[in-house]
Amino acid sequence: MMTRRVLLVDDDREFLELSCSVLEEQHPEVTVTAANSGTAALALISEAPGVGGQKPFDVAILDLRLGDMTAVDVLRRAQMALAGVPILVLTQALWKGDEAAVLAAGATLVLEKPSKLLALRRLLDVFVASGHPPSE
Amino acid sequence: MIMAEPSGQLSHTDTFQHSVPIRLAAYWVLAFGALLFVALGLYPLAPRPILLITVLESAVLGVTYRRALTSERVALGYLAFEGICQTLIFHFCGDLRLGVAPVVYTFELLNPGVRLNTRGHAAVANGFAAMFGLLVVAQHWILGLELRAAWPAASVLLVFLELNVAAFFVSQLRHVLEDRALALTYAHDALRTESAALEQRVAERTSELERSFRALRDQADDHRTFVYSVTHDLKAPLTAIQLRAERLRERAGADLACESRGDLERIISLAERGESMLHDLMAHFEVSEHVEAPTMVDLEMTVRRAFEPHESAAVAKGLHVRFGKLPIVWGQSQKLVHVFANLLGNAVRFAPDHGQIDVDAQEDNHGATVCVRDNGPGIPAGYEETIFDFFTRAPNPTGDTPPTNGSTGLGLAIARRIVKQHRGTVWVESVSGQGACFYVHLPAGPP
Repeated sequence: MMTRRVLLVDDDREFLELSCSVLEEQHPEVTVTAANSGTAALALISEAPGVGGQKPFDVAILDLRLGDMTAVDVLRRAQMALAGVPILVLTQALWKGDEAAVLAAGATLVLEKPSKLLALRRLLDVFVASGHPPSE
Repeated sequence: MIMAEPSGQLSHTDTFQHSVPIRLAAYWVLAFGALLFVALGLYPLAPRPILLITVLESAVLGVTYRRALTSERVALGYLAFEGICQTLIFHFCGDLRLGVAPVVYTFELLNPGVRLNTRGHAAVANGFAAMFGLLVVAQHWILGLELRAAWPAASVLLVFLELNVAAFFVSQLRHVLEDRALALTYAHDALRTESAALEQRVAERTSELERSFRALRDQADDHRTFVYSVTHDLKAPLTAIQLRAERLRERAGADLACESRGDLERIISLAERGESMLHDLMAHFEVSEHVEAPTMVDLEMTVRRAFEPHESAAVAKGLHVRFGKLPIVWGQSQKLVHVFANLLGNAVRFAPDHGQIDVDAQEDNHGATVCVRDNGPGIPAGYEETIFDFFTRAPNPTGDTPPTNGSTGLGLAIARRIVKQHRGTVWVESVSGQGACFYVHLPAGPP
């Protein structure tokens, strides 16, 4: 099976490091790429090697607020590149207004950011495992 | 009478122009009347020259009248002319000497009379003229001349009298109208100035109020942004602490000594609590800051909606819940639901098994007061105000550490905030051990 490539984007360095660490522990078969801002994320998406019709990443997990822009902005700008990629958007506070806009921009799922280790683990398990294998 | 110079132009000759044609007509009537009088033979003893002179006098008077009223020179000139006529008349009447006397008198007295007239003292002049006319007539009568011979003098004097009277009226009228026009113009000016000043003040005040409003609104926006960003910024490190502590427990927990393990557990639970407080704060803040358009709110529906999330808990405890008749108030519908959800939630939480919860209302002139009553442990004495503080929970009846039933002590604080936004008040009356009754007073009518 091909190595699954996961993109993690969050402007909160602490959470980013922790998520990377937990993910690498739980799923050593996965390649984790981390971005600390929206701009960095967009750069990574455009640089990532896409062989044939391959997508730059297999799974993307983004925090809603990324400092320089929001996840919605990233999804809109990378719409083409990320089409068909399962995208999870995490938010500190799940306000109803935000959710609809985020889903409309192309997110697969919007969840509240977990503050419990177990919840974080489960979330990463399910979401990383649910990503479709890259098409040939 | 006249207080200030008029700023507008006032033409006193206007009123003059108006009365002159009438007067002129009157004089011509008089002149021809006299002529007629004579022509009809009512003056049989008068020789033809007297007739002609009388007609001439009247004609000249008619022609110079207008000028005579405004110009002293013309008036005096006429008098002189009239004096000559009088002299001639009396000459033809046969006594030159007698003819002179009235001329002299007339000249002497009416001269100042004319002067007086142009200075507004025509009444005096008229008095003299009238008196003098009578004197002349009396003189002739006394001297045995035919009364009718004295007619020319009397008639001309009378005519001149009327000239004075007319001039007097006109001048008085002129003065009165001048005064009134001046007063009116002055009043208009004053009004205009006042109005302009008032408009100025209103404009200043409006821009002041606009400035204040903008400042307040900016302040409110800043405040809202501040609270929002602070709570978000605080949440990140708290979450990180919790996750890292949990990971530490996972990796090295088993290796730790008992006390250290205990400390670690404590860290985790405190981080949880801090997080939970922030979460509640953010949720409650969202509700109270949300701008809702006020409407007529049916409190019966509000209370029922507010009770829904707590219904299952109430059923589980076997609680007896009763809603009385509740009024319609003016307010923000969602926020009021939030308030009563909190009060009812507390009531459900604190009521004993098979306890009783009542919701009633009382209306009065000022508004409506709703009461949520439970028969739980009540609030210990002295804490009736502090429970409405942020992050403060009522202590146990024994006064010990607050109950750890999951509440962060925000609900009542936010409820009070919302009720205050409605210009109402919320308070509690309770006797420890005998339940509590939370009162919410909402004023009637739009806030």
